[in-house]
Amino acid sequence: MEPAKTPDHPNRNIGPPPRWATTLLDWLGDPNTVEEVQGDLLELFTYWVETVGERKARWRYGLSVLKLLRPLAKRKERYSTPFSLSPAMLRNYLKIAFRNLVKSKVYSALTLLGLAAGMTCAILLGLYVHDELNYDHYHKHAERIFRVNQYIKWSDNEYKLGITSAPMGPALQQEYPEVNNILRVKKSNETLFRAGEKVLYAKNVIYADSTLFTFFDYEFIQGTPQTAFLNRNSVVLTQKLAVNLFGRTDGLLGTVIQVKDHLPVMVAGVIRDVPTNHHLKFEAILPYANEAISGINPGKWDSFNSMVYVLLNRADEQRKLEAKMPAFYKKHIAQALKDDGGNKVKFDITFQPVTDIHLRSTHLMGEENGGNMAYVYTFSAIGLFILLIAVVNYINLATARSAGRAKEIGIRKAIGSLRLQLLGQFLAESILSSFLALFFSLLLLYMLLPLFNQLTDKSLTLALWNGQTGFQLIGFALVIGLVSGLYPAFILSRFKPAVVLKGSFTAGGKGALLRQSLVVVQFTISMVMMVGTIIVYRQLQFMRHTQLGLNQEQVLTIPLKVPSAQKSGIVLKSKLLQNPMIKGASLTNGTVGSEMNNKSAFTFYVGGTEQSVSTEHFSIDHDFLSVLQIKLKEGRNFSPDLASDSTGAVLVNEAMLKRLGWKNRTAGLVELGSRKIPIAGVIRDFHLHSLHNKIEPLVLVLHPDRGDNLLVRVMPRNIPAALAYVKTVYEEVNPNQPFEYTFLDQTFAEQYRSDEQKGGLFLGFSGMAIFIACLGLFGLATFTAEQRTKEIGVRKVLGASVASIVALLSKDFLKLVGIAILIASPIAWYGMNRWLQDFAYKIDLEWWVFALAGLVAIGIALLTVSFQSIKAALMNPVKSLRSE
Amino acid sequence: MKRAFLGEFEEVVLLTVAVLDESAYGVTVTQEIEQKTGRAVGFSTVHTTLQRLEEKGYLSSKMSGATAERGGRRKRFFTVTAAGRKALMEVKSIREQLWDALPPQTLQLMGG
Repeated sequence: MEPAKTPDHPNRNIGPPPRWATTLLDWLGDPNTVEEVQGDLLELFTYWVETVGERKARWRYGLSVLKLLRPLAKRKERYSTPFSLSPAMLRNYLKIAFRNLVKSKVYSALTLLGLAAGMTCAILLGLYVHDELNYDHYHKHAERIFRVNQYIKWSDNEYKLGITSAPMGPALQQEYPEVNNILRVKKSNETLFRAGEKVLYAKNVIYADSTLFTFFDYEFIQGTPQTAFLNRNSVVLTQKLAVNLFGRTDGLLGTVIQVKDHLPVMVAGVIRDVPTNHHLKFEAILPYANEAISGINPGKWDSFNSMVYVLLNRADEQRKLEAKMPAFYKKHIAQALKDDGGNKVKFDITFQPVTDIHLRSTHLMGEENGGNMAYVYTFSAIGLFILLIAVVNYINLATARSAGRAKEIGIRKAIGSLRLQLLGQFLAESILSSFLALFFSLLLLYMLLPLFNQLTDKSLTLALWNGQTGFQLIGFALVIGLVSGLYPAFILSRFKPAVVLKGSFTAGGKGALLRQSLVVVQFTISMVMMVGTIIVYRQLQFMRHTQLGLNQEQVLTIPLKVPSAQKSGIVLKSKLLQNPMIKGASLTNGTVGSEMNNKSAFTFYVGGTEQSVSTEHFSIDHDFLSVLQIKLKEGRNFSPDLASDSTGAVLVNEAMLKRLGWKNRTAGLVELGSRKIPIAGVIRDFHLHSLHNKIEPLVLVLHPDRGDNLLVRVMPRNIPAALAYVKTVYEEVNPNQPFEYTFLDQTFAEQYRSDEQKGGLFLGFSGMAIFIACLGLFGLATFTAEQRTKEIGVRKVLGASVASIVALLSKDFLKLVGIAILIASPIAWYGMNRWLQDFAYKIDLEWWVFALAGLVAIGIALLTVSFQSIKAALMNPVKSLRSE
Repeated sequence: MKRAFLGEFEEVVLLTVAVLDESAYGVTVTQEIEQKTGRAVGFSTVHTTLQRLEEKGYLSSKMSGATAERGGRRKRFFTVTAAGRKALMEVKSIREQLWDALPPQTLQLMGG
């Protein structure tokens, strides 16, 4: 029945029928009848041409072909096959599915619980990852906004910065037509606000150009983005700060408040609190351009203090612009850095998409604590793995228990069910289970979300009635149902009715290898996560208890943020010291335990050589070392008896000597204020920042009567009383200013907050993974014990002991867990090694951690399995053998 | 099995096949119906009806008789099966019964 190859008409007097119709028929005609149809039409065409004329004949020919194309001439259902989706069959499928769920309550509960738990974890992690990935995506111009990043390197010094200098912005806008608009933002913390009687510190404040509202979309409660910053003395408050200051958000426009040290500003707008998925966090916006308020010198090219954003005309112009930056450096910045040829310093300017700032800034100085792409990958993987464990449970139990349904399948097939229909039936069952599981997991989610938000500092919600989320969840459940049901459905529908119905069929042995491998996969994942959790916790422990080189206990840090408080700092210090509860106090302009201090390049001289080292530096008084209990390595501390110390001496740390490559300090000099002065002493290295950072070189200079932080060491005996005393004295010296303090050990601990969050998540989710894996193991153990009831009975009759039977039943599973341990150990070692690279000071990966995790895994598996195996072993053989 | 049901057009096609005896295939059936009933019938309608009748078991078919004017393609000849004959007889007898039951005066009014 091959279609003929030549559609040309044999009769030469008549033209051929329309070629398009003939071709169409070739392609789309029913292959069973295409031959005779082609022939018939050809014959009829001649007839039509003779009777009604060629034009009409062609028309009829085309019309007949069109009507005969398969999609249009679709055959009706065959009369003999029953309609498999008839309501009666559907009812039957559902009824059987529910009966199966109800009949084996234990297994149904195990699979449903596992699926629900797995889905809950996956949805939680999915929400988390989605939130992380969507930082700053919601701004209208998001894809055209870039931040200027800098990479600076000269001799031994290297910086990667997300900040740059103030004049950079206007210069970029003037010189490059690609740049549509620019925005400068300087972050600031702890800023004093005063509204009438109410005085408080706002934790985070930004100074910004008025273009802020063009770049980023904030929701205004009062005022408009257009008018908010017309005035150089404006302030825009967030809802939170407005409520804290005034107790309301309305009617505030035009109200004058004071910031910092009595600088008047006018409220020009109130916005809703910044969404958590915005990389800028602040409570108020102050004008960048007003030098009196922001304190920014707009012309200094070598002072890196501001973030500069550019709005490009087109998103793809980023690279083009970057290529022009070396010339820009030579023209503007080289001179300010005393790099006259423009070749001494490597200075790269790059443009980072605003949507990348949250996740891809971990290499930038001062931004290490933001989001991290590596965690996004890790948590996605964990979510998927937990889901995998749950799906594996379903597959394992469904195939193991396939024997129970063999008869049903045999009969269905004998009656005339097709394999495809059976596949459909079992898939429908697994989808039903997965929807039930989804329902339970939504209940769980509503309970867990607040806890999860607290742990991660996010405000995630599950907007179920938002169409998209609803559809995604339904799609999710469908996919899970399909994935988990496909293999069992395939296996079940393969049974041969003759074999099954004869009664000689024993299922369960089949696919044992697959089940075993799946158990190994489950336990490998659980084991990796367990090792991960132990190591994260040990590292946290290590960081909390490492000797920092200073004593951070019982030390208060009191910020002196406004100039008047800084001036009276020395009075406050001397007054505090009058009380014996105060052990010591020190005035410094450095910060200890949290942010970076100012960095500058110092030039050191020894013999005829000079060396430039970029280092953190700050001023201290005579008591700094004693209050923090920092030890001196060589030389001396600053001395109150030597007046010349305030201009003529510096202290450095050991790391500095190492960087310089000096054996000792004696012959060395350092340039300070265009004078070469000797190094008075070298202090032992101490951790100025968290253990994420290496101890870097440090220069300390003396300013005994000035500082913006007062460190106070109190006696450990009665800290509340000491605190109360400090507060009274503070308020006496600084009337009208709120008293704020932090404990130094808490400041240090704060640096590990994000690590602790990760640890908490790890612990929670690895617990879940193990739990779900154990559910599966429990199910399998139950199943094997049931299957071997007779064997156990015979063994007991023949004299086997309970212990030997328990061993027999547990052995198989323990072997699998053992294999899992072997596979998991190197994976966990590799992963955790990578994680530890983030820390400058870290624990070693010791073998016992793996041994411990392995033992725990074996222990848990043994506990799970032994419940069933002991039950089976204790059973009276009379019962199990009676029916024979 | 349900009572045979023949649509009006199906009946015509089936009868035509019976009339044409050995030479019934798509073209002759179409032409025959056109000539006998005087109405223009689409080939596609005839073709699908033939298919359907075969599915119902009233017709059987075999391929043969390729000619040059068909571009060397074979014809599908149809013959009426026993079931087809039975169905035709049934339809006929039902009609006759109904005609017989018709009162004579009504027949006269209809001009018969």
